[in-house]
Amino acid sequence: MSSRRNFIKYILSGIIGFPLLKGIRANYKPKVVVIGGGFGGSTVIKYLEKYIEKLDLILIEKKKNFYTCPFSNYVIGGFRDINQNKFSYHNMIKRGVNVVFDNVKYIDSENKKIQLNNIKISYDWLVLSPGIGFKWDSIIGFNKKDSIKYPIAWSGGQDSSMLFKKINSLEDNSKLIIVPPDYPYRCPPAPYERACLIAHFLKKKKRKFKIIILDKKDSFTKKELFLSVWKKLYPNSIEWIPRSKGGIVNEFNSKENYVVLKSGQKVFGDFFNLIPDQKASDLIFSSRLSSQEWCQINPVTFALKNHSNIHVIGDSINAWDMPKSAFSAYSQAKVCAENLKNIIFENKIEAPVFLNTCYSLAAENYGFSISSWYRTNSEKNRIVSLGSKSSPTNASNAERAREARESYDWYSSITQELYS
Amino acid sequence: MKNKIKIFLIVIIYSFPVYSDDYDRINIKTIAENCNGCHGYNGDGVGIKKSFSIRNKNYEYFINKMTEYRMKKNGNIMNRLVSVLSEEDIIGLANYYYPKN
Repeated sequence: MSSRRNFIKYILSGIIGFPLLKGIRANYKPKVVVIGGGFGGSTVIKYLEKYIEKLDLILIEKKKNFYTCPFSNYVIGGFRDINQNKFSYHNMIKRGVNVVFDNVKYIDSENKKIQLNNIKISYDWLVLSPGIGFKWDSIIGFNKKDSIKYPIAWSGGQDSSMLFKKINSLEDNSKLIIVPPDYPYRCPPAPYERACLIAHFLKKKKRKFKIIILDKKDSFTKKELFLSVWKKLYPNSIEWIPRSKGGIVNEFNSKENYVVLKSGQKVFGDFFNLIPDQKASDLIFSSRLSSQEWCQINPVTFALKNHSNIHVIGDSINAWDMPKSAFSAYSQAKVCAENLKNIIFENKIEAPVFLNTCYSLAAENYGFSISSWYRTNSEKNRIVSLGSKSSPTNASNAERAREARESYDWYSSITQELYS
Repeated sequence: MKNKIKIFLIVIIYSFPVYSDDYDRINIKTIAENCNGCHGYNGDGVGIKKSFSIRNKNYEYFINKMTEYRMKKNGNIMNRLVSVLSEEDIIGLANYYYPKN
């Protein structure tokens, strides 16, 4: 009985499966589901839309509106309204994409099904762009509940406005402690840009203040640029204490307003912005898709190791030399979309090339950037940088102003491409 | 104009062709799509600054401008990005954006 059942199953899977692999079964559109409508997921959708006649394309997104992480520090710096960072999926829906607003509880990779709050959705191919998760045990005494009083502001949205309100309510002579996460984490220069923009805001309000950055690291991206800018724009107002000078924070005491360094020394503050260490999105772990902190992927197709038909892009992956940024996710998404399409329609897999550009502002009209091209190594098993290049440290104010304007142009361009 | 083309030829002789090595050839479209982040979908310049459009320029302008970017060290973001591209990439990109040439 069992062998007959297996035989029928085998024949049926052949009838169903073979034409699917060939991509030629009449009236059948392979179903590609994308989870996460941020920069990565929306880019996959945008670049697969060209094949919408041949693909059943679905985006699953938890929220009706997307608030970008890029430019969220400008909200914290008090010169950008949070609604300027808000985008809807309205135009994507108008372009013919099926957008499902729901929460993904878990992915059943064995049966190729996605469990939403009330329904299940099946897929032939799944692309995940779910962002990051936090390691809540990285600072003893600081947990999810504390992040209401002390917003982390690491995912865009109202959290950024909340942090701005807290900064705005600081009294004169306040001491603010920023604790950046350890590598790897989303948007490497962001904690240092944030220090600048908070300083910019408080300076504009003519308040006296001190920002202390207690760091687990001895270096960070654009370090020379930030150090020179702090000296130039905010002398004696921003102090960076690296790992080698005792900057590691072990504990937070929210009742008595201090952090405890590894040495045992207490550092008191009037306000704290603690950013926990990070890992792949919780969805990855609830779905048992990775036993490691970051998803291991094939750098040419972004196929998830040990899971067929699942591809992962953006902040949740180990992308080797590539930083976790909106631009990285956007660049990876294009390669993923192209090669996923090539897999589905059995075309030649293209060799990838990636780009990341990251602008930081140190004041409203004072910007600089770092950028790098990337490709795979000759073994095609990792992504390697072709050399990062930053803005010069001795640039004039006019050049810094131009780079600041360029950051707005970049933002306008990328968001219009994806959400208009 | 001839001088600019001469300069371009000198630059390409001394260039290091990052993308044209032998282990895998990069499709020029893959490079171009990375430019869309600032220059808009298909290089159409959908951002606030219309001058960001690559499509509204022409083949010769593109080659000359990219050559100029390559020659200047430590300048703006375009200098930094283009310095990594090979002569084949620049010509390939020009053919991609202005296919009638």
